[in-house]
Amino acid sequence: MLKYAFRFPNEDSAFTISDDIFGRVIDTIDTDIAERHKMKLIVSELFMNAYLHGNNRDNSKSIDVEMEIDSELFVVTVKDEGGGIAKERFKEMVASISAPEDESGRGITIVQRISDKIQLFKDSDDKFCIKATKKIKKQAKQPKKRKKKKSLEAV
Amino acid sequence: MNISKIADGDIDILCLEGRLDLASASKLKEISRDIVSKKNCKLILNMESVDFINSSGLGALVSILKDTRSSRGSIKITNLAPYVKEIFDITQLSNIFDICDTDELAKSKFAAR
Repeated sequence: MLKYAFRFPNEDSAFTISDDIFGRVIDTIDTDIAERHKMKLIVSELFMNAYLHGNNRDNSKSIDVEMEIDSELFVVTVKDEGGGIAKERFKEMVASISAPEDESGRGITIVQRISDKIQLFKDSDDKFCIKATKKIKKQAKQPKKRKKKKSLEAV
Repeated sequence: MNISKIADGDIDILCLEGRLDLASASKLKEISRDIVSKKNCKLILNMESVDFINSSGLGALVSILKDTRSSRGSIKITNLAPYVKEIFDITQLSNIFDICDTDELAKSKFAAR
């Protein structure tokens, strides 16, 4: 299993850097483009949630991201320094998808829909964590192209 | 994100390229503002080269849709990659946007109005 751990300041500038780093890690996973897009989306939404809601845009705080990848699973844990959200409230949030015409409020719902499992907990440092797990679908193997036999005339 | 603008008769086409996320959402809203403020505007968002979209990007599209409706205009989204279209489906946004496979199809729909 490969493990990656990053800490970012809770600042606007962290988005570009973090998306680039997460993208590079996820692009190494042996799966198709649709699955990789979903993984990038999970990390992006959890990171944005930590920045906007967990740390409430407070630049003095930080966001920790851990990614664990093996041949079967993609697991990402995002930690912030906010108070967290009660599990019941979280269930309510993801159960009711925001009205299509709402401009915000669909990030965590997307994560819930494209992940296989989501866990909420506080770690030993009392930081609030959201952990999303996604099974990695193997890329369908392309059939090997048969080499054309050279005709006798061409030899 | 790179955004290029093409005028085709009374139709404006914005070709989007790259990531549609928190960083680029405001840029897209800013560039589309002049178009969607015109009465009865016809806007095509060609998303063929959009390789990533998140909830902020979706929020920007909803905002543009609302502005378009306010000016009695119309908007169509074209050339979505299947994995981007899937996110529209998950969030039920495919129910409120007119999504066309190609710009040509979108133009013919505008002409048929």
